Amino acid sequence: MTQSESVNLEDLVAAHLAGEAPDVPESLSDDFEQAIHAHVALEGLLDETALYDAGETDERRPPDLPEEYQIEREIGKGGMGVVYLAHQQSLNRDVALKVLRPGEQTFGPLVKRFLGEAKHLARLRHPNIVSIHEVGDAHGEPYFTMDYIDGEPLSAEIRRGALSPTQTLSVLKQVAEAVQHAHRQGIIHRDLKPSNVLIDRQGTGFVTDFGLARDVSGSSELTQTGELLGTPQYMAPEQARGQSSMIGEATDIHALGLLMFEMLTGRAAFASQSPADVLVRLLNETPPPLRSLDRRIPRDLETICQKMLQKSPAERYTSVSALLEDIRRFEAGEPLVARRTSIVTRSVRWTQRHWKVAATAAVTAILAVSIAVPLFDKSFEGLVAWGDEEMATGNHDVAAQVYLRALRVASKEDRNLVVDRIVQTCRSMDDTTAVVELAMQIVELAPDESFGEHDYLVAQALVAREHADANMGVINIWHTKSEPVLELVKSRLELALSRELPNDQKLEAEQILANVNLAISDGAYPVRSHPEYLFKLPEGDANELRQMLLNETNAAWNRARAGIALGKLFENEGQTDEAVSAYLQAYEQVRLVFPMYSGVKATFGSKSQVDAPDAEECQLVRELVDRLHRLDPDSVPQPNGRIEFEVVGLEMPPSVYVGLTPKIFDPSITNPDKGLPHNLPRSLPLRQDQPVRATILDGTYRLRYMGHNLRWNNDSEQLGRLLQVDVDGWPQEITVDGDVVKLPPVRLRLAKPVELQEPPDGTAVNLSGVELKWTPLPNATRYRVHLSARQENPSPKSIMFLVVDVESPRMRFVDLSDQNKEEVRDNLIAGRTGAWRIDAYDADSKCIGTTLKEMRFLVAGALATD
Amino acid sequence: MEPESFARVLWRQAKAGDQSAYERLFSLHADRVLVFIRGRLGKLREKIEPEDVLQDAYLSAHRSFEQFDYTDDGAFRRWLCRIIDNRLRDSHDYFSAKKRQEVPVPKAALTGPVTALNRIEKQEHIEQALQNLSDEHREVLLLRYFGGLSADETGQRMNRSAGAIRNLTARALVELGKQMGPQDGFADER
Repeated sequence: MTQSESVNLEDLVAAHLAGEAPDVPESLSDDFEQAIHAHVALEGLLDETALYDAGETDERRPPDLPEEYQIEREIGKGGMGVVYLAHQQSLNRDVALKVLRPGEQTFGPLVKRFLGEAKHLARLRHPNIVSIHEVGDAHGEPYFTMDYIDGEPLSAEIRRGALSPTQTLSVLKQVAEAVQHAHRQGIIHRDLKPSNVLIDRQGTGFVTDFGLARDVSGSSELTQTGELLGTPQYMAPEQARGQSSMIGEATDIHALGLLMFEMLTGRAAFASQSPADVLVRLLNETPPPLRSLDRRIPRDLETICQKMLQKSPAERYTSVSALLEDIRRFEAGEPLVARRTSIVTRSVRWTQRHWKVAATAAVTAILAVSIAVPLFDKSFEGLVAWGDEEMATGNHDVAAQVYLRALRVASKEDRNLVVDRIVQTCRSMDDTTAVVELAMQIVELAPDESFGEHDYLVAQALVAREHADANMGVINIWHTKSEPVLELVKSRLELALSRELPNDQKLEAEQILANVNLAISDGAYPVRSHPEYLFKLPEGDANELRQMLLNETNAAWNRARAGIALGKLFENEGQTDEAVSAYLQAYEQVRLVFPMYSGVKATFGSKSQVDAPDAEECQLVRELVDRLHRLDPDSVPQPNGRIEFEVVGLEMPPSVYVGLTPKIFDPSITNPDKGLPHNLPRSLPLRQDQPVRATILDGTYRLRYMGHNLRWNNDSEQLGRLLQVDVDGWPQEITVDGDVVKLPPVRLRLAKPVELQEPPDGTAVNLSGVELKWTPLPNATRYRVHLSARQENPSPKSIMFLVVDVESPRMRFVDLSDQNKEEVRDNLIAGRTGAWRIDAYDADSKCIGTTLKEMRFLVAGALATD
Repeated sequence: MEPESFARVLWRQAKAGDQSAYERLFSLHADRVLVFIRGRLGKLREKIEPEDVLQDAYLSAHRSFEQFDYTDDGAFRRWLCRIIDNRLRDSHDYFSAKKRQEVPVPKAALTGPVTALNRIEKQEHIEQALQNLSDEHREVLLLRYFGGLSADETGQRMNRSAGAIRNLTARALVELGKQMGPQDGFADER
């Protein structure tokens, strides 16, 4: 390469990257250096140098142990260790000896966890937990020894077949008692599964492998890395979601439930090929009721197991003791605690009331066929004869209308005659949307009649109708329905399930049936407040606590908890200065994470403008501030500064509460997207009579507008729905320095309602053909379509799965991108209920219109594949 | 025997059906892939959680793992980045709209404390510098370095000729180098 004026930097760098060694002119050398520097840094970042010493994993060599132990053979391996049968010379006994898997000892956390297991075991003394003997270190490789159990894992026993209820309970009780003991020591096992339960020759069960156990009283630093801990198949939903703060006793109870399920049925509750599948299933699916797999299983055991396997930890047994109590009751023949009070069944004349409503509803698909002869002057007999004639000539849709008319004029005695004919008509029709509408006219009158291949859709249409008036909210609607409705839905689903169904439809129907069955058999579970462990502070001596506090890799919240515990320790010993210092360090962690908390404390004088936090976390912060105040009032930093802004625009009636939710955080301390308690950020109540203020400790914070929330009276509902809050011009970063930081005013305004036009609410549609239409808004340059689908598990709810922007006031599914089509096919399978609503935006991307009430449709035909 | 990279061994085990190996293989790449995602999202990070994208990549990559071939070290990362790039290209709405079921994504455990910390610092440094680049510069570096795309392939995605992409890459590197500031501690890399 020549060194001329025309040589430019790009060429030089490109040449260098191409492997040449270009001459770099003096004038460009700085830039060139920088580019190469960047290149090297990028390459370095992406370099995968971690080399693997082959040969070490495949054939594991036994560890190089002291002569005291003679390795006999390998007897098992778990996620993080290999267990050998060893003979201990001096005591002439067999022991189980566990070492970390060779080749993995380089992983720091593994060693830590391995030693943690030994520590946990050492704290546990229970006849159903293997005892630990000795912890040692063989040439840098940690190991420990424990009781050798001459027997086999429970998994081996289950592999030979299901256990009887008596055997199951015997094992379950022993395991539960062991777990209860561990819980009392503050230890959660987190990895209970058949292979971790050993059964010796006398039938005694032993819980082993505390390798993943967590000391709930301690810091959770080992889980901070976000590793997938536990065995997917035996995880509780909160584990699978990685909600480490929710992991507690109830997590082990869930595992015990899976253990029980597997013992009784001989199969895992959530068996699947891939761990990802298992995860998805265990988050979304309820295992089949035990008695549907084996009728011989007592109903009460099914109830106990169901209670243990609730998706929400709060709905499981509150403790292992409660579980053991119910097992005792079962064995003694007493009524269970888990058996819930039955719902009050109101015996309204339900069927009669409903069929009339149904028969007068619009029948859109069928009415689309025009009939030349007026229906109204025919007698009942005449109508039936006419309908029969149309059927005979293959005019099914005309026949359907004629029969429907006949049904309306039929006397009570004649009704069945027409219903039979309509059922026949349904069976012979191909147009699924018409069949659904027709069948829905008579479904109550013919609860056990099969509509042939349309049974599944009819069942789903019925489910959709029951959902329609339930607002698709968080309430499990089946618990609010009367018994006859439930029975009707149940018999419909069973009819549908008696036919061959595609897998996804079958699963869906089974899920709904399970929910309905649950509602029929029991009432709702009582809701329980947060488990106690959330309040617990870590345990340890001053050194351990200080380490937790100072360890910067720990989450700020956990460091603060360690600091509080440390301060209490000092306080108890009368060392006030040390206590204050520890509390202050703890405070330093949380005041930045939750800057608005500081304004909460009443001891600061004036009452806070901020919605008072009420979560456990907040109580701990309050306690912390209280203690600091008591020990050294001057030590607590006083918040002097505040943010302040006015609310302008639309004037809200006093009945409407508008809360603004800003997220204020210090990026150097906390990641705003992780680790914040879910009840944060708090919302600031907006008021218009004076500026809104929030007191904040000095510091530099990021400011993010998260949205707003509203509470309103019924009469102002429309207002609330349409209200928009604009925070134009709010800075991304603010510095509070003892003064008032004025923010640009927040503006309130109303958006216009967007009317949905087609298809009419509640109709059955074929996604490949249907077009969604709504009234256009002037000034709208973009419409956002929100699509959701109702899902049944674990409780019925509506999940928004797709948001699509379009420019004109209509949308067809066939026009979506391939990616979006795939989403539609995944979520709107035939039989499901979809819902949609529209937001409208102007050229400045301001929301100027929104739908007041979303509309629903039943998917009669899924979106066809291209 | 030639020492193999850890990733390659994990890939072989995963290919042979060892599920935990897939988890670990993924976790080995998670942090760098996150750098890619955050960079690729740019300002969209306000609307889209990088973690959601990572989770989506975790599931997508698992679904099509059969199709992946470990040609050389880095292939898995490039493959993941390309999957993510494709997913993001036509589905921003998907990510910003979907209230998804959280599936935990395995992420790397820290290896040796010192090296890991060192690496994280470097990573954050580079990431910060990347975020300060123009969209165009950032995209070209992400695609070429993280995604391992050739100048031709990158050109197709960015509607430019291969030559233009080479120039753009070089300019972006100069900018990145400037953003990264003095070369303390980095000079001895390699």
